[in-house]
Amino acid sequence: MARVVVIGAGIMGLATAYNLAKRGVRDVLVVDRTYLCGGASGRNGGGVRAQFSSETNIRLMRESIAICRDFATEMKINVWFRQGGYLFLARSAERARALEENVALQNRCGLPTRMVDAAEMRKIVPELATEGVRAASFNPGDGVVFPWPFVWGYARAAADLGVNIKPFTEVVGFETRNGRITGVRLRPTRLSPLDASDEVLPAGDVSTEACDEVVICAGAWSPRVAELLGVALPNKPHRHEICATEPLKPWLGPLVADLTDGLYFSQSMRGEIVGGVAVDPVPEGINQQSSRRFLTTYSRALVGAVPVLAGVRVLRQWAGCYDLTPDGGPIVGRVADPSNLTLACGFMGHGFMMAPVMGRLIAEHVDTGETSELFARWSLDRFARGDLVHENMIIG
Amino acid sequence: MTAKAMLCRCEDVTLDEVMEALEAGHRDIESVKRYTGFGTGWCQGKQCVVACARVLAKATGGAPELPITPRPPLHPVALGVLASLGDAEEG
Amino acid sequence: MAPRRILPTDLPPGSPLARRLAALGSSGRVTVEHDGAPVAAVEGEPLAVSLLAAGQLTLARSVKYHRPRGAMCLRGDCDGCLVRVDGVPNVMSCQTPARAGMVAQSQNAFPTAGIDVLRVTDWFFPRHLDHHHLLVQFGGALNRTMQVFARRMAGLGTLPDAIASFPRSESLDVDALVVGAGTSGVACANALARGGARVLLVDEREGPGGMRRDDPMDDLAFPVCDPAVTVRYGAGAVATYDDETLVIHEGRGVTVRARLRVFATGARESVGVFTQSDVPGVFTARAFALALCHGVLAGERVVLVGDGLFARSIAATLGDRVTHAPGASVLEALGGRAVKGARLSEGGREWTVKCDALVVEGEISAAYELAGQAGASVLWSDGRQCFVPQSDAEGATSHEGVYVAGSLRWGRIDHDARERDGAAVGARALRDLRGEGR
Repeated sequence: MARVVVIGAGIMGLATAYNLAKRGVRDVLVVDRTYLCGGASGRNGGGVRAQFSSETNIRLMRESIAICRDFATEMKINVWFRQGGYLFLARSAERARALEENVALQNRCGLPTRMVDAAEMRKIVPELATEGVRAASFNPGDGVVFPWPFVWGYARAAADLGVNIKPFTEVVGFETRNGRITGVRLRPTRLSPLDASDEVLPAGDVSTEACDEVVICAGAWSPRVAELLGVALPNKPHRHEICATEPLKPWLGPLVADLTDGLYFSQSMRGEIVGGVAVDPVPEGINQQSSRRFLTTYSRALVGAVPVLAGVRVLRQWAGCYDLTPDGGPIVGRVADPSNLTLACGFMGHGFMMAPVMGRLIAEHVDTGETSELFARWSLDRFARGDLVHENMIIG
Repeated sequence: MTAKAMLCRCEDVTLDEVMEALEAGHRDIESVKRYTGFGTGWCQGKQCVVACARVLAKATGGAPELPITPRPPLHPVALGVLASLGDAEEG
Repeated sequence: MAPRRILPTDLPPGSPLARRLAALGSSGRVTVEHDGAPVAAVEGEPLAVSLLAAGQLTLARSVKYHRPRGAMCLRGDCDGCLVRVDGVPNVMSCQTPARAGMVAQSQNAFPTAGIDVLRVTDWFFPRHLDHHHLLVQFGGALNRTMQVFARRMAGLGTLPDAIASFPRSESLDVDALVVGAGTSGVACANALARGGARVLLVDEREGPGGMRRDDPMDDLAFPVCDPAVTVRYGAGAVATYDDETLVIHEGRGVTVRARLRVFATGARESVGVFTQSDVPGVFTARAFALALCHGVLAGERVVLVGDGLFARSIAATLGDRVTHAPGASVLEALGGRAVKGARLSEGGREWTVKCDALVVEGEISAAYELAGQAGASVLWSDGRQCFVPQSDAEGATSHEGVYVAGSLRWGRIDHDARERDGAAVGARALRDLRGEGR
């Protein structure tokens, strides 16, 4: 019997579970179909930024960055948070204007983001080819982390507070009564040996965990889980690919992003350039396979941005799924039916960086039952009402 | 001289570290890989995956099952070479 | 105690290696540079072999502890021989043919790979450095300072000196792509081509033969490719996807679309894991044999452990110039910057030997990676003690259009068996190509 079942042991689920336990909520169970760091939390490039175009995102990320800064010493595990900044490039007059507007909004929210010209861009990244770049925005407080230790840190801290975490455990159904979930049906899994596809296979019998509350933070798998309840979610998984180069001595300060083609790249603690780019078309659906097309698209964009990287080598490529909503805003908060279901998904490829602050807020929301302006804005029913939000600074 | 038995040369992961990862609760090969970093360096596991699988199997009492997922490229490939390739049709 | 070049006259008359070295004798002699010092080389031999011949065992430093490293596998499968060459970082010198005027420099070390003051980390953390928890118990400022330092210690090499340019890529369309021109790969390609399929056979080495190229006892009479087979050497398959395979042919990218793919990629060797197994001067038997085939003896006081094909060939070639302990296993390699000795054990007995080259054969694993990328199921084999791609009786894997052949599939089987297997897999693939049922 669990008081709360959290579906998804990525950073969102674990941060939520940790904060629930911190608030004194007992008997929290977190389940995940695969191993820890198997989903997007283990596949992302580790970018953490407050440069967004909506005030909500900006303010939330300011808080999240503050949590990231203290994470290592609070949770007692290194996360290698380095605030080298994010440099967003604009190649057209229109995009430059949009950046300027975003910068003004960010400044109103207390961020030191500024517009930089080509000369200053080259000071920040001397190797950057600036022809064709009209303008850029730079927030020195943005940064990169090594993502996996966040997952372990939250998992260890949650477990220390009594949270039960079960990887390799899939949700195969629910029991409901009178518009409430009364139980979650679970089945053990194992990794499939076929196809290098990261798929899981059943590996045991189904059991039922009775529960009071359910939170779905299963990232790209959220719609599948919600469907088992008859709840139709509008978000769709889209494969996004990423790769890492050989490690070099530190040379790149910020994460550089180009909204024109979705290119982003940064240098990890180990010295690798980690990055991705938008590839068109993208197969819809859960797909974590790698493609050659991505390597060509990415390398053309990256070498175009930093020509000296032509001789630098790719060591490995992988992929994960962005969880994309129709309006670019996440889906967070309780739903009408079942009444004890809370959603936290649809984070558009920046769920990892938002999880530290969202984990706190979702835990509060689940524990107290109170809603706030945030949860109203990002509720599932906004799509039916036509009350859409908007965020245009999406990369990758 | 030090007493390290280097299980993953490329990432300097010692045998001791793999044992500590197991003790910390990382029991499957993908989790141990993420925690220790073995198999994520220059050779991408060519030298160490088998050795690590054996260590895990011995420690957990099971048989080794799967390797870490083989991902492209097999050897490091220059970005300039990748950029020179023609457009791929979606497969 | 330094490695050296051997002459045909150093060997028993009529030995296969003597003949091979006599043929090599006409190759050009060039000079390359390593950390400012001139090094005599044979044009076209792997740069790592030239450095070995010059007695240069310590070539690189590892990422975390800055431990000395040197060539170990000589096959592009490890990190030991990484040097900066002509302004390009992280070049595998075992995969780089020596050319006149080539400039090699050690990297990730101060002042050089031979003596690196940053090895203090290795001494300071004798068991290991737990980077997950280093300095988390102190306040943020100290932890952040540690991170700055850790970032500077990490990374191998620095950005290239110049902006590199690359030749135009190529695109090929064939019926069958066979990866690996060893015995089974050639047999497979021949079967397919004689059946009318358009076949491309690729191998990253400079010629056919696979593991036979590295055997000093081999007569080098390799099976011949049928003229209908298109074969490319110096062409390594590096990535394979459902729709195409990427081959790098002498630095040029080649994308290959093929209706079927056969992987005859053989095996990888490792020295295994023992205390100090990473010290320079510890070689796989195949690596030591490969150096021998280039006329380089990678040590004067050689201890050889293991009883496989390469160990036996080395022992047969060098006789009492090596100390051979076929049944022993290695407990520890001794030496700080390069190997000076080893502690061995056999049947409960332990003893120490002095050596300047420790050659180990025993850890052989299937080179399953490309087959795995292609979608074959890869599982542990208790018999072979390694991961093996799964296939049916005729070499077809569970993924349509993907086959495996030869020693990749079976482990170390003899030449005739590999040839038969390649032919059989080729015949099966041909039937599938024609749409004939089983």
